[in-house]
Amino acid sequence: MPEDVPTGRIADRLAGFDDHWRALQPKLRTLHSRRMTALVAVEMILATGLALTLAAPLMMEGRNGGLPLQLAIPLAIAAAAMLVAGGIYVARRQASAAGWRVKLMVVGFFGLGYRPDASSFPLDSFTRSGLLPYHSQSRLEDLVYGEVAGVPLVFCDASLRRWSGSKLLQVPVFRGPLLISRYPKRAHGWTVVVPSGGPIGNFFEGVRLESRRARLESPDFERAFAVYTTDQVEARYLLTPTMMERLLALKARFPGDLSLAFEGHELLLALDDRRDWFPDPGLLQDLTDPAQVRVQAEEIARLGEIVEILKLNLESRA
Amino acid sequence: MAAPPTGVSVSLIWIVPAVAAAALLFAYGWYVSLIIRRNRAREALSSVDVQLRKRFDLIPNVLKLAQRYMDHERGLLAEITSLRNRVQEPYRRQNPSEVAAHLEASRALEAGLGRLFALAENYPDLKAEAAIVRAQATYEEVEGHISAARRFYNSAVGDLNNAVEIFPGSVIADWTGVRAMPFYELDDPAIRQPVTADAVLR
Repeated sequence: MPEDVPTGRIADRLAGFDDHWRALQPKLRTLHSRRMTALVAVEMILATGLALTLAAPLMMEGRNGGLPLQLAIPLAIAAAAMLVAGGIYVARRQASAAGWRVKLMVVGFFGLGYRPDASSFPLDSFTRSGLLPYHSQSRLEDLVYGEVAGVPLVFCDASLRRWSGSKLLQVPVFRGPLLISRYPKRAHGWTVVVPSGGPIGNFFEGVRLESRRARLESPDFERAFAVYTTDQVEARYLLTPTMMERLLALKARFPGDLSLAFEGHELLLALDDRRDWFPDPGLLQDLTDPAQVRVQAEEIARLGEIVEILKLNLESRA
Repeated sequence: MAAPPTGVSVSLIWIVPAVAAAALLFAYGWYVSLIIRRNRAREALSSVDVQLRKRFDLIPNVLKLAQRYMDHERGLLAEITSLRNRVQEPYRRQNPSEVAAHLEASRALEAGLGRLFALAENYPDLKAEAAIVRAQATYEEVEGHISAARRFYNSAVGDLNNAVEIFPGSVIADWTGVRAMPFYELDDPAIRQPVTADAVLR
């Protein structure tokens, strides 16, 4: 099934979304027209500025005290480039400002909270658990929080980078969602589930994580994941055969490198799928059209799907 | 004066001890792996005992509560008390038959407690008691830990038994006295019963 086609469950979750969006029309129209006015203003300022900048050397040519043409033209081109860059920056700021307001309205449909800045997200818990690769720069955005099916959770979109070997540029090492949710069982030790890297990869992963591997009974699970723990019994308490099946189902539904850790009563989940889960709406997108913002709504619905597949809402200890 | 050794006999002088040394090294390596596996199985057995301990600690409270309401189940309550005492009896971890007896008693106790909680459903006053609700929740959590410890133990025992029972491990294990250990299996007759649509729909 193509990724962009909502599954039955997502479609169920989005029932009523179009009506919700239509009810927000007055707000959206204001937002849309403000955005368009700002865009037109930026375009006009850009066009005038560019025209003046490029015409100035020609008008100054031959006048006493003016710059020679060989110097004036490069200066004009540099000034034009700075103008264009400034224009793009302002336009992107506009798009981003409208984007987070739209996301706030989308998230509101699901009864969740939203903040564009996710710097309060506890990234340290993920780093401490060994779920994330080494990185020198992190950018967290789109903090979504609240309860899904009665399960408290907090989510953000993460982009992690590290310097390349030559120290000239930063290369991406992780891109995707980070999620913390309540887990019905309590972990006292440290247990992580990471993608299996084959015999050699798993050996080095064990060295990196400084812990023993727990070999579980399901061959399918062992092919897909490797479990490292400080407490062999607790790892099996947390990862029951049913939970292993649920994790396999989650991996099948969400392609990418799926990792999990258990901390107290919380489940930490990281999915490196090299994707922006909540892209800002396009600059020319009609915000009043529900079909145009369905992409954002579907991503929130996917969060519910994670909770549903892992059955985090059940108090059952299976 | 003795004749100088031929090329073949010189080679043999070196090859025979080299092969013997290699065989010894191999046997020693296998022996080490057997001991590691046996120790891992014993460690797993200790984990089982730690979890069983939690169950023992829970039983007196459950029995005390049950006695107040379940007059007709005195036989079962006495049986559970006796099973608890049996499980608490000391045993030698290096003796597979004593380990098997210990695990057998644990299974019987688990089945007895399962029956007790099932019968408690017939006693509305007992079911409504907050303490029994708490005890049942704790019991479920403890059973979850016991089940996890059982899986850890069985996994370690599976590794050990494969190494002990497959040649040449069987020979080395025989020489060194390392023995296979019993699995801790569920012995719930209910799960072995064939499921029929009639029974489910009744």
